Amino acid sequence: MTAVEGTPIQRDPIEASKVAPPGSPRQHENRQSRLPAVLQSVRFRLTLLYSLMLFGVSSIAVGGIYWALSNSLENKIADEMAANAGPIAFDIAQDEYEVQERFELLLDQRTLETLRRFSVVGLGSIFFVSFGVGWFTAGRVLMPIGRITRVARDIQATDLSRRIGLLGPNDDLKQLADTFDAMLDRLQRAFDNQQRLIHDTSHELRNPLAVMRTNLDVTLSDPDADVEQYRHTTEVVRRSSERMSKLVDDLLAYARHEAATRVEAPVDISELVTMLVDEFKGAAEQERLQLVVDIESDLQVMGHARSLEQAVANLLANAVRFAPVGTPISVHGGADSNWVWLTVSDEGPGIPVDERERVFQRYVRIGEGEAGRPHLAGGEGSGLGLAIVREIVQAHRGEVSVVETPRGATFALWIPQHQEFETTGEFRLPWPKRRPNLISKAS
Amino acid sequence: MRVLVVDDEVDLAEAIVRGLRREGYAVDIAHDGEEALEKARITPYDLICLDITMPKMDGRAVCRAIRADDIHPEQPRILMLTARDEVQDRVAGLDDGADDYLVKPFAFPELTARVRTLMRRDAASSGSMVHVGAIALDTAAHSVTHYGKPISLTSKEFALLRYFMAQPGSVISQEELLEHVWDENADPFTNTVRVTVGTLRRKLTPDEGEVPIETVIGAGYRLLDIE
Repeated sequence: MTAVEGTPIQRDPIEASKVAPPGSPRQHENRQSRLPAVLQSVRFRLTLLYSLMLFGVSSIAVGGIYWALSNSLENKIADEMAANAGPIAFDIAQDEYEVQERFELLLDQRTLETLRRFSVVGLGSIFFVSFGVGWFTAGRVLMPIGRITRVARDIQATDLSRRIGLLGPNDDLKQLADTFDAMLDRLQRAFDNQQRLIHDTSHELRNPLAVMRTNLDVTLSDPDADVEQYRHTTEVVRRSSERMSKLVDDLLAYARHEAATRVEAPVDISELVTMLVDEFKGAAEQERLQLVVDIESDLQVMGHARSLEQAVANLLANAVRFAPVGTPISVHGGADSNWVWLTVSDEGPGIPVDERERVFQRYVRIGEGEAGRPHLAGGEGSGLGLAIVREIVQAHRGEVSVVETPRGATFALWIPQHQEFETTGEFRLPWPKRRPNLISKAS
Repeated sequence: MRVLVVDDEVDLAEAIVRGLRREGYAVDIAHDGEEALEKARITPYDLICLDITMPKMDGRAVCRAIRADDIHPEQPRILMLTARDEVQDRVAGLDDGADDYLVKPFAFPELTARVRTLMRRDAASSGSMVHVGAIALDTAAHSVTHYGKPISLTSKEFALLRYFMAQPGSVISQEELLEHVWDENADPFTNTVRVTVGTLRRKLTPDEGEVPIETVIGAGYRLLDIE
């Protein structure tokens, strides 16, 4: 028995057409109703609607004309009748006249008849012609939708590189396609970002894992290991696990910020900074660091308070970690041409010019372990702190960078100022042409 | 066998050093790329375990710099240690001149096995067993037999014998032994080499017959192939 005979689907073409691979659009349609796909299409419905409406309108128009015409003819007949009902005066001329009248009446009635016949035929043809025209036009207009559907169907979860790229006039469908493309762009960026984050993070977790694994391997395989060596190993393992938990904490902060920044509300940066500086006072005093704050009051921005708090806290934590004992850490803030700016400066080792862009990348650490002070600010850096700052500030349509100062490191962030009359989170401030000159203010 | 371990993770580098020293290698340590390159230029290492992501100068740059140098007559073997495991990373590492590639976190026995393999390529032999005359040395199990009789050696004596057995018949100077068998902490002005060679000779002295290690006056020592 061959496979063909053994498969009932192939013997029955109707059955075969019903059985489609799972997930295919055909199967979906089958589930919805038994109507042929073409009768369910928007194209068909549009065509039908269009031709029915055209038919209706033409019927009314033709009917109206017919009615008006027949009315006027009937009036004429009635007039005639009325005239005939008048005083009876028979003469030959009168008779002749009457015959002619009758003939005309007959002619009129016949014309009316003809009109009716032609109207019916005309209306019928209008229906069919309009159906054809409608089918063609709807097909043309809806063609881009087919393209959009095809692309959307082709896009797999892991490959977001396809775009519709609809050409033509900037009409509703083009706008739809462009919106779709823009959404795909955003999705792809987010997806790539996520992939990179997972990738970078797994590598980053491998380092403390390697430290633990190697220390445990070496110590456990040493038959002469003494208590001191075991103690050292457990110490190392604890340090590594602390590092890993710090990394996990920062990752969670990162994820939280990504989920949270969608809801925006006015935030007072001055209040936020004052509160954070109080929190950092304890840690700073341990190292005899002076926290100098000079910030204008009432700096309103639109955003997410907890995220902004995290961003400023990360900058402060970095400053506290790198500032040499007894030096000041200064925090300045103000508003200039619709931007709120904030700087955090320390007198630590600073950041080399060529590292100033790189320092905001994930898992890039600079100068760790030299002037570093891991026992403060929650252990050794996870390498995510500044990356988180940048993510948050950019999500607030702002910018963060390292600015040139004679010594130490100064981080500056700008966020668009919030004006009272803007109430929606969707509103975007235009970028000012001129940036406030921060260096003169910060120093 | 002199090894340099380069890693900016201090805890990791120290553990590797501890483990490799126990295996009888002379191990030095460096915590960044520049320090590694400096040390590699001073000492003719047999093997360098090199981390890739490091401050100042990354492992790949160090590797290229070492390969470009011709200060020492013989190039060291380079084993790259890294958390990056994509194929292109491995290919890039090997193209930069690395001999082998090990992804973190690794099992320590695997590291030592690879170190042994890389060293063995020098001796052009296969397996962990090395034979010279009546001496049989198992580099993996750390055991030595002489005329079939097991001999107990300290790790330094073991390292010394392993070095001799890698080049039987050739004269090896005291300086060379100091460079390859002892690490940077050894004091070059002590007679530690002479003392260790002495104890090794005593342990290898058979009940009857010749001692396989011969002193070449004014030149050094030579391992003889005596059946």
